[in-house]
Amino acid sequence: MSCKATLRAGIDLSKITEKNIEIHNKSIELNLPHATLISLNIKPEDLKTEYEDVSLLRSSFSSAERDALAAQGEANIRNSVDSLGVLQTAEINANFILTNFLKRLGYEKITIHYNNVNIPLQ
Amino acid sequence: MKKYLVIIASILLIIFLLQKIHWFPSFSGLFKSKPMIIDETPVLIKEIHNLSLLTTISMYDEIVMDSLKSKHLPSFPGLRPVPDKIVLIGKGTVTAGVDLKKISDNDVMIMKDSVMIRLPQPEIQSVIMNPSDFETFTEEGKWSPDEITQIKMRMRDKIGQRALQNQILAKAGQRSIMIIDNFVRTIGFKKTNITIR
Repeated sequence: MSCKATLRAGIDLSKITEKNIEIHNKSIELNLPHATLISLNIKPEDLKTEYEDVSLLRSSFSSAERDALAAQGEANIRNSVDSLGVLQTAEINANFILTNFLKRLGYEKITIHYNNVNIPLQ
Repeated sequence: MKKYLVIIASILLIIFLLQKIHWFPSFSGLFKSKPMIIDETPVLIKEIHNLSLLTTISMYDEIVMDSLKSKHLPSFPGLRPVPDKIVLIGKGTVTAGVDLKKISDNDVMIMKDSVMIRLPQPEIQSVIMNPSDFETFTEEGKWSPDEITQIKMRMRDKIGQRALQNQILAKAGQRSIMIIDNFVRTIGFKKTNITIR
């Protein structure tokens, strides 16, 4: 079996509080939570049976058996998120989007850190 | 003769003891179906897209769908072939929000400590039904993977439609306004006016 999966990663803006932001005139420093996996999507049509060979003593694979195999693949992808570098890419992209957004709002110097939201800025 | 009996009894006793300490498979489990386990499979990244999505709502739903398929067998009066039947249960998550990439310079206006932002229309971002979200309740007859995929796609469409009926877009719009409003207040603006375009 082979499958295509779409992983979506990003940061949770609702976790940002005043404690994570420091403003001095036109400069702003944000301490954001690390990016997390937001969703993993394996569309049914992207799951393909590439090859099936069933011996005489066994009935062909049922829907439940195919789903059980695919679910193992799904868990495999979920467990390898850290090693794929998706989260790091999401943080770089979030940096870019937030910097552009904050520039539009009038800030000139923008510094973004990724840390635990509960840790106050130094 | 007695010597052979002692040897056979000793072998049986050793097998019995090995089974007790799980060093030997039990005979009852010999014909049981074994759980299927896939090998460690490589995961390859094919594409990376940069998104600017603000996901503000996710709706969870469950759906049951049954499908019948008549067999291509001759039917006789009073004797009709039983159709193949499958019943699937699926759990789906629908996410919605706004695409921040669609905000243009004209959508943002700043005056001292006041800000006005016009957000784009909220949209459904994904309808997720993964393999682990499906359960086969009944499967009678022969169903090909393609036929099952078609049923699953119909289930996914149905879950998306139900989310729309439950006003997911209106709720996503309200949540988007609230989140952006909180964010701009947190970064120092006193007066805010966040609307949907």
